[in-house]
Amino acid sequence: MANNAVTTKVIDILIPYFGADMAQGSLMISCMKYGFDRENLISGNLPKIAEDIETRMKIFLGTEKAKAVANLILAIKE
Amino acid sequence: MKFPLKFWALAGLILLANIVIYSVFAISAATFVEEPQAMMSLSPQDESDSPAMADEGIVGEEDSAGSLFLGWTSVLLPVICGLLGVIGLVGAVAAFKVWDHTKVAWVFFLFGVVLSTIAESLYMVMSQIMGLNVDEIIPSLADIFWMAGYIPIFISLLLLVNGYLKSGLSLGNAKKFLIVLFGGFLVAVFLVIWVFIPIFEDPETGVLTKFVYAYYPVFDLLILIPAAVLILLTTQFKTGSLSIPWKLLALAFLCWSAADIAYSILAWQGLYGDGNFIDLLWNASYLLMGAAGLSQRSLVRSV
Repeated sequence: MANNAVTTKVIDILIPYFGADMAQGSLMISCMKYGFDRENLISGNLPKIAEDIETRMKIFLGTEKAKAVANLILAIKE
Repeated sequence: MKFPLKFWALAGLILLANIVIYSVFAISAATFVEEPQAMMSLSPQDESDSPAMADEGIVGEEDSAGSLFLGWTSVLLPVICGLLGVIGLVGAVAAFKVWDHTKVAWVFFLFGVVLSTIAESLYMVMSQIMGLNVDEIIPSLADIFWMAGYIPIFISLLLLVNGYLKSGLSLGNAKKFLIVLFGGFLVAVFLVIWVFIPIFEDPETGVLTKFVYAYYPVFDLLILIPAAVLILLTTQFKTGSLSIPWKLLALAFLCWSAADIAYSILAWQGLYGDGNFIDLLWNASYLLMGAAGLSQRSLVRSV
């Protein structure tokens, strides 16, 4: 089943940082944690997803820039 | 993410110069060993016709100048590489605006490399300017700084690994960690047999000297294990930019540990001297640390 537009945009943001496999894996972990449908994300799912991604990226980017990536995810529109 | 091309080019030039200089002297040394043997086989009539004998004084001066050049190269290159490492790591630390877990880890790295670079500088001053045989002074002031430098570096590696574990990211295949642990066990066994036992069994060596000789390989092993774990964690990222600085750091510490362990064995047997090719690993490790710092800076700025 193909990803919807929101899922695709989230993956597109993550791939340059995590690589393709880890980007998919990271999103899957967040979706499983909150019970979201990974292939059919909606805007309402994004705050939790963004918060999770921010936590994961902090050790690599630091607090400020991890927050910036989370904001990119929050800015996604359906 | 911008690639620090100029730094890599400079690093490549330095290592190339290192290889060329050491190779030239290694070949010269091998040639010089053969020539005296050839001279000894000449008859008295031949000696007067031999330009080599007539030029013996000049050959002696050239050899002395060559040794001096090699000696300076051996101690100056690590200082230069250490400074470049520090510069790169300062770039990384400056890129983080918030004092958090991540910035603290990179600050510890920087501190460790600064201490190590000071040690290299002290070694240079003591050996080349003061004319001391620093390898006979254990512990020297340089040793104090090198030994101190291990501690913040070890702390920084632990902070990074701990930070990753708390991030919730995948650890990957558990079997790979077993391989790392087994590899670490093998290295430890090797060190015990080839380094620690000969050191501790030597009745002529004092306690303090034995402690210093043992300190380096112990901390090398302590650094090697988290560095190997970092490599395993970051291989999952494949080409993901988050992992590049960590991969470079891990590679730097693999080079560092390998050089240190080789040095421990060679120095104990009196086989280490100016122009030894294991110096390349130390120089490479400093340059890789600098590259890691610049990559981290570039990564943070790219967001």
